[in-house]
Amino acid sequence: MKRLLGVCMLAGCAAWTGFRAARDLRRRERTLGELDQGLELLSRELGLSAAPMDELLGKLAQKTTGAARSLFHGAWKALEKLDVQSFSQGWGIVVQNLPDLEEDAKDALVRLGQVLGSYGGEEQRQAIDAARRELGLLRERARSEWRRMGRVYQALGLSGGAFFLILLL
Amino acid sequence: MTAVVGQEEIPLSGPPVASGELEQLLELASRASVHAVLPQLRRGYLTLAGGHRLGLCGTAALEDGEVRTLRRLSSASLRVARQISGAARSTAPRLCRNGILESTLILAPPGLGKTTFLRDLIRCVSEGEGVFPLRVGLADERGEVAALAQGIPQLAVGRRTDVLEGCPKAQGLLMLLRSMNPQVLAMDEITSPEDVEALKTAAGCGTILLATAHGGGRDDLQRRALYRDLPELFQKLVLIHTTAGRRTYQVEELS
Repeated sequence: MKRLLGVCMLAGCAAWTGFRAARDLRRRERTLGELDQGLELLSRELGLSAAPMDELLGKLAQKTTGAARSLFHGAWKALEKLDVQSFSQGWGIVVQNLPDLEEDAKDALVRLGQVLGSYGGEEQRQAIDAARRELGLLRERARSEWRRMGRVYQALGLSGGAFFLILLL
Repeated sequence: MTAVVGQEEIPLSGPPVASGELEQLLELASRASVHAVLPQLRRGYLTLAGGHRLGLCGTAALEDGEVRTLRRLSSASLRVARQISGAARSTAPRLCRNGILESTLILAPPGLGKTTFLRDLIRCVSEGEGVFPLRVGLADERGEVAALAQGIPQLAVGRRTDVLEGCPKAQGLLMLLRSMNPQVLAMDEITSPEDVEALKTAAGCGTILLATAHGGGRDDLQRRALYRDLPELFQKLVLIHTTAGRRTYQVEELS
């Protein structure tokens, strides 16, 4: 009985690993999508109201979801520490702590943080557009990778699990 | 770094201010929102919460002959706004005829407290202290009179005062006139012919005017072309003097 339980757990683990790898790919694509939507809103708000950054970020933290909400809320909190760190530093720390984001995407967002709040509205919107283009490419790559590899990981997980079952029973 | 207190300039210890520190100062002053303060930055200063003014110097970046922004900041000057509640209390009754305020021009050189006096006069009129209470519309282009924060005046301008901040003064006066039905219209610093034209329009509508202007004395009203029409618009003139460190307010009839 114990052996059967152990084998089942091993098989389950293998299947779970495969499904988790597929889910991570899916989540990466979704995170990039959330950030893209958040940046689009930021660009629109900058163009419409030119409101101060604390108002913009506070509003966007309420309007967005997932990674975009974490980013805007974290950056909004960073504004409280302007006497000890610059906004771009605070933004950079928040970006580095965002989960499910590859280095290229983080680099694009960190570069955006060096422009946000320090230039005119139009320059900031251009920087947002540039960041969105980069994130868009990464999202496309993540999507095709998920489509291509997601099923493979799931199949590998299931086959691995089945392999253990057959081998050990 | 120096601090100017009254007429005295006191050198402060410490190393000279570095350019990076000025950039940091700008970021702090604008709350990392240069885009929101760019119109002010183009004029060389920012108005901070509380009505304080941060003047900045550096290299101007031009576009089509107009200042686009300031780069490579080289120095800064922080002017601390002060509210002296009651500054206009004793003068306000002398600006009235039959208890009703008359249009008043406040004239003094820079730094003598024109804005402080105007702010308190607005408060007195709005609250009915020493004068009959009236609705006041304030065109506060630089946000130094009422210092709005989240729509709430940080400096007392009275309960019956509507504040329009950030809008060019001339435009602001006309917007207030159209939208808020003011009995009194107030603005700080007459600096352009457009301001004078807007005051003429407002006076033509029967509104009482309160305004300040840079000037050493009554003669400036004739000497400076911009001011020549002002005696027709205002009935009272307040001249601010300092004697032995104390401010005195001299009231004269204009027309």
